[in-house]
Amino acid sequence: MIVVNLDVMMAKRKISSNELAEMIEITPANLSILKREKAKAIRFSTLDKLCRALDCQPGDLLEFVDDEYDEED
Amino acid sequence: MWNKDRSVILSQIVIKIFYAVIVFCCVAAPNLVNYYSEKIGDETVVLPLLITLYACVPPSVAALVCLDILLANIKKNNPFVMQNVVLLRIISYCCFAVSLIFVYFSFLRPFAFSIVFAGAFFGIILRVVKNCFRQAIEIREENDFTV
Repeated sequence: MIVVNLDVMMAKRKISSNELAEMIEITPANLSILKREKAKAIRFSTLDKLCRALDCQPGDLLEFVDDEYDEED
Repeated sequence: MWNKDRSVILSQIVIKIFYAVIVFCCVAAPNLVNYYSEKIGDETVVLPLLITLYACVPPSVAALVCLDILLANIKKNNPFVMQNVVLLRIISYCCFAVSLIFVYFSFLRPFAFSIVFAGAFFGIILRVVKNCFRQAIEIREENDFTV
């Protein structure tokens, strides 16, 4: 599964949700969906804006975690 | 002139009319069946036809209630919800039920096989529509949760 480390990056950059939402021009509700890992997909344009606002790489925000073994157990 | 809301309202009116038609048929069924048996000159069909017709009432009413709820959801601009998929599935089962109920009578009067066929055919169409709705819900959810 893909884990979104947005809250970690936001804490590192000391930026609030509302501030970030305003910077990247998305609604706080949509940002919350992304933070809570409820999102089914993320647009390249949103990822681009996030990376620009948080001064990071996509890999800093998204992480692949192999959870297949966990599901079988 | 003619718009989506009016179309839904017309459908709801037609459903209400069908409720009345079912009630009328329930009350008048013995007379109608007697008239039919006299016309064909065969009194042996009276009981099987009456049983068949009355057995069709519960699935018909269930289908109408489901259609009513379905239309209410559509009227609220909320057609792609799981409840509608369940409702369409129930309506398709009702069609199959009517089709199955008429199987016995179709052996007595072969014309009734057309009802068996029509019921099963509507049931299949509704199942396909139900599958479309389910797919549409998934697409809508994916769209809603794309940030």
